[in-house]
Amino acid sequence: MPISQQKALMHDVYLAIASLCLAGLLFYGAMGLPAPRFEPMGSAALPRILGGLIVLLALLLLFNVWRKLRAAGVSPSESETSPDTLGSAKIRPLGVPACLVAYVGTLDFLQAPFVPSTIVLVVALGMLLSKPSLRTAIIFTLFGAALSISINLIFTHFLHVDLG
Amino acid sequence: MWEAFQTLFQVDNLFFLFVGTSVGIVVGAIPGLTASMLIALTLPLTFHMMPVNAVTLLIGEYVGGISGGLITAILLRMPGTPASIVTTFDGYPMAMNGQPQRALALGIMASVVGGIISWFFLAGMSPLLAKFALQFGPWEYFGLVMMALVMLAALTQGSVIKGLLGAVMGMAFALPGIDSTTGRGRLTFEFDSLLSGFGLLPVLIGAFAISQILKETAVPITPGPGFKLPKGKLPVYWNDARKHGANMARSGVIGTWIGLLPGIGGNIAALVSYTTTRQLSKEPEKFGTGHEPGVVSGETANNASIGGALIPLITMGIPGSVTEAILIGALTIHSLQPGPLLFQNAPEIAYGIIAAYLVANLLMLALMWSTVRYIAMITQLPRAGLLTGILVFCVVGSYAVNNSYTDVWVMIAFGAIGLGLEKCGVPLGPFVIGFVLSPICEEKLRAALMMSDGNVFDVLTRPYALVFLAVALLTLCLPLFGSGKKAGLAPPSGEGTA
Repeated sequence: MPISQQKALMHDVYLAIASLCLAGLLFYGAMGLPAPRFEPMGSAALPRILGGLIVLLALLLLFNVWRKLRAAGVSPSESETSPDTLGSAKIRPLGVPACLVAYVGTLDFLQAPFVPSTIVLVVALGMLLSKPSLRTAIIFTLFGAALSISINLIFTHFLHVDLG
Repeated sequence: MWEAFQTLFQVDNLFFLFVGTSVGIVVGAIPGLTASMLIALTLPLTFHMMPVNAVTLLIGEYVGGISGGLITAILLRMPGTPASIVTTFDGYPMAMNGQPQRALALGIMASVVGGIISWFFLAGMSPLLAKFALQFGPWEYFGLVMMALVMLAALTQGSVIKGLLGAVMGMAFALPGIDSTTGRGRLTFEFDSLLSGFGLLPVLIGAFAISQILKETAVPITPGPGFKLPKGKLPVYWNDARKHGANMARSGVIGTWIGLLPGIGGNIAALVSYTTTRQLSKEPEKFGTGHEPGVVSGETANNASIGGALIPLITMGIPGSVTEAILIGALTIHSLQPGPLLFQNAPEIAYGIIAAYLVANLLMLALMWSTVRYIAMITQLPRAGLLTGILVFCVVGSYAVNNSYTDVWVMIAFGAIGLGLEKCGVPLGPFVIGFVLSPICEEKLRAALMMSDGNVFDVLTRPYALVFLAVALLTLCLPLFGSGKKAGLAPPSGEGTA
């Protein structure tokens, strides 16, 4: 079985597991809801219906994975050990979300001012997404300053939203 | 309708329509950035606008966003939007054969004609359909919502199971918050911030913009191939009306009717139209080698599908695609409920959408005709700066909804969810539309059951509701009786619907 197909099957398994967790949350949350009193359905009905549907669809997905693996004559353990991209290729995709989380965390928890925080974010992302050099840093600092100052100006003065 | 045009021609409305269409064309021309992403990002800015201004801005962005995709599809073989994929088949070979201006001219003309054809359907059918929909009760609406959701999930590219899973998951994420019937919190897990549920805007921005940015930045950003458009006029002749008129008319009708169906989208409309044109052609072997009718059929149909998709949106409040779901969100933000009553309660908005759609198409023609060379240059802007700027806008836009960072965290979480779902081959269209339609679906079902004292079989006495539910069931069952290919594991799709 080609590696790309094995990866797709593993993604299906992860999806099914995540779906079952979501269904579990729905059932757990519905347990604490009151029984219907003035109407036939009640507020717990839809979470239970959706939970049931998710379980059904997740099982169908797992059944399909099992069927495909059986047809290809590959055991799940074999498919799990397929080579995967590791190392530097994995760092890049994590850099942008990490910068984003750090930026929002700084604004939210540390109450940092918007303009300097945004300039730092823009420079960090610029260095991450293009070739890091002094020239890149200068260009992105100027871009970050122009962007953050103009956004701050528009939102504060015209839309009455205080960005901090 | 005349009053709607008069309102539209006021300076402020024309300004917003102009801005929306221009920005839409530029964003549509940049591969990876879509009209839905742009509209989701613009929504926070519309809070402080008059509803008519907001609607004209968003309609302009929608029309511009779909039309702009043809520029890079023709010049770089990179469709700016999924709806322009078909344009690459013949547009790019034409550009390579030394006819880039001719391909662009035909594409722009076809887009406008497609838009105008579907406008006639939109303007003619919408008031009649809205009157008809006034007869609908809760069972009919429940049936309609189920039909839209199932069709969207089943007909979207990829596996039916994953489409349905996406729709059901989207519905599940709309459940937390105060239950409107009992007034008590539901699925809040003791978190006070969940009492108001997940906001539509952070969910939309997260699912579309953040997930897209994360996807784009996960791979090294390389500069595009680039294409310098030679100087000269865009050649179009009177003879083209005779040469391509029938093709445009047919493709416009196909595009409009496919746009009407939930979940199919402009890319499929263009593909069906292209295939039909090729089948009817006396020279089918020329398609794919830079044949003019190929460009014309695809571009006419994808623009016509917008007008088609707006029909169920304004007459019944049912979104045909993700972009319409976001437009419903925009109307809801302004306390406007799309549906048959929109024509009675806010006729300036209902007719305003129709009028704005026509004028946006004409503006698009003027803008693209005069600036196509410069737009082609804009698409060569450094992507690192572009994506960084969009990311900052996402954060600010989500924060501005309630002046709260909780919404920003929600946006990030839904960005991660959206990315994960796409990685697993679950289309985001059904997920977002499930999220938007879940409250309507539950409200109508509960109301229907209350009216019928809990008797589910009461639906059997409602013929329209029965038809809608039967269509939903058929849509669900047909692939299972077919080749079985769609029901099983199909390769993950890039984007479900445009």
